[in-house]
Amino acid sequence: MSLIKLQGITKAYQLGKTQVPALKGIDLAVERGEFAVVMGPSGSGKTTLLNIIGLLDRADAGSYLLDGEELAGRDFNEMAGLRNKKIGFIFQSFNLIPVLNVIENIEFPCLLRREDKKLLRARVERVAEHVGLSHVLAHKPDELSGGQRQRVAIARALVTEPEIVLADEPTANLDSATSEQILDLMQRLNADSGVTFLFSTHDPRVMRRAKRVVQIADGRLVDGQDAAAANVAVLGAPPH
Amino acid sequence: MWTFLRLALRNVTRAKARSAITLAALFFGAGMSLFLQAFVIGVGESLIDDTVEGRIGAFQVHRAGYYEKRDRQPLALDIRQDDVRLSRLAALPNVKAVTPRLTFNALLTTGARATAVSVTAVDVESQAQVLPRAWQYVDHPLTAQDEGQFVLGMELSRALGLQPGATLMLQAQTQAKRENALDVELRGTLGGANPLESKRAVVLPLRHAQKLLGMDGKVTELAVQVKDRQQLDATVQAARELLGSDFEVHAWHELRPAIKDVTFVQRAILSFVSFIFLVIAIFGVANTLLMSVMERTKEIGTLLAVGMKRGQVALLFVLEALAQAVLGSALGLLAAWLVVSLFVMRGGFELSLGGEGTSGFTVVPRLLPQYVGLVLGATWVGSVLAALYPAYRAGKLRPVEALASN
Repeated sequence: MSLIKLQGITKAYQLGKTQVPALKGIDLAVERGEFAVVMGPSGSGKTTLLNIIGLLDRADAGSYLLDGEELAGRDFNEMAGLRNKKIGFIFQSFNLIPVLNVIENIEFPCLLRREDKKLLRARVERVAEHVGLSHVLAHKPDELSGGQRQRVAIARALVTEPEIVLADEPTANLDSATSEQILDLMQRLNADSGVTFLFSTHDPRVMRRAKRVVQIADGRLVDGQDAAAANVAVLGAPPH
Repeated sequence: MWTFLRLALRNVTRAKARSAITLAALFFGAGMSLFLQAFVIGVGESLIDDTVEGRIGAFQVHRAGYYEKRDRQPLALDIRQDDVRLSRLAALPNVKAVTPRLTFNALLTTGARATAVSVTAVDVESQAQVLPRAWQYVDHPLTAQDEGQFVLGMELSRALGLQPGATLMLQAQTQAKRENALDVELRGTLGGANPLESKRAVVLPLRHAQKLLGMDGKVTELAVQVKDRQQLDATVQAARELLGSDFEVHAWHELRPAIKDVTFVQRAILSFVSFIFLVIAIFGVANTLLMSVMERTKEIGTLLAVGMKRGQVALLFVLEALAQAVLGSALGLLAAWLVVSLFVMRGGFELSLGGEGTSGFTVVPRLLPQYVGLVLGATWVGSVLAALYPAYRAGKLRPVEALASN
């Protein structure tokens, strides 16, 4: 059974009096343990697709099965609970809570589901150590570098042990070296722990590492591409 | 809850300048409300104390019908001092002391000038128990030995150009409707807060007045003091039952309804002013939170993305408002308490109703726990209510739109 299965997903936005279609019948399956990228030009619908997969937005029509559960028609709070339990988010601009320190930021999603704080703290410290943050646990976000902030965001996404981590342009605000480190980290987490990652990105570095690239254009998926073909299409042929 | 409270407290301290302004508004609103309440309570209590302990007692006993006829026939309905029922009055559980008095109108004559005066004749010894403040505005109070002396309102004394020791004639109609007169010697002057008193009052020893009016052994009223004013109504009722239908018993607020009305109006006006202060403070809270919701939209999106529910987002903003309200009102309470304590340490302050020859009365502001609770509760509840709309707006945000905001 696929972790995520979308069928006939459509979404349109109202811009003034005009309805602008963003997704025009998306069928997509994401399997456990994937390290996949959704790529496409600006306005192609990739962020909308990720938002719907992440339950941040609702599709106008279509079916969405997450871990075998149909999510159409769920109310806001049910979707919040599912986001908290099953989905981790990594954002382009990190989106940390500025008044909380590193450890508090990481543990925050777990506190929302009232986990025992003592047990949780041990897990949080383990995750923080895993992403290389052990030495800055008491720091506030504004005391961290961009790379460290993104590591905090990764730790926050992982600490709830989600089914899938959605990363929207996770390297867009990082320099090259830091981007590589962050991608190394996510790739390692995928390989070691089997965490499923789904990216939305323009970054060729991310695409080169992806096991699968899903191309989207004009609100529709471009059929039949695997990672290698997409890489060639987008990045050109690799040097021999 | 602690997770939200911690986050709310941190958020309060993050925009320091804005939080400081909101706290200042709450501090000022709660502090001023508390001080005004303390001031009004102080004025009310001073007025009541002045009336009950300095002028008429906690309640008075007259012959039945006296209260209605007192202006036309002040001496017609008298009380015999040796009436056995009256001796039982002093034995009632909450009664502290009883003093007999005679009140009547007279003419005070000095040379060619005659002035209408309002006379209260008192038994100096027993009055000390019933009206311990009776002499507080008198420069030379009467003593039990001052048989032919009297005290005169200060303004009248000045108008007549009198000095202590001056001899005047007091003329009045006796109970038997005959004119009578007695010489009286000015002992002291009365400069209380009431301008009318300063212009018309005469205080005379009881036996001298009885001689003047031909009313040996008779008085027009008994002024009674109680041990516990909270039990006054029950004591008045007990006195009515004891004395029966030959007598009428009136509590101080029935005899001086204006005092109660004045304190009620004062409280109403200042409660309204307090309410305005609080409303301004609470609008400050609402404004701050609305700005906060707008500025933190993206952060709210993040909170929603990691699984916060709508109600939890709203709760966060309500807690922020409550935290500011608790802190601001606590500081306001502290400031009000310090100012009130300062006045108490200095023995209160003088408040005059105006008029030459009046000396005013001392007001000691007092913070009553129930009013402190009311003002703090109003500040907290008001702030929470003020937070509801911003909190609702925050909770209504769609995560996808909130995350896309800058």
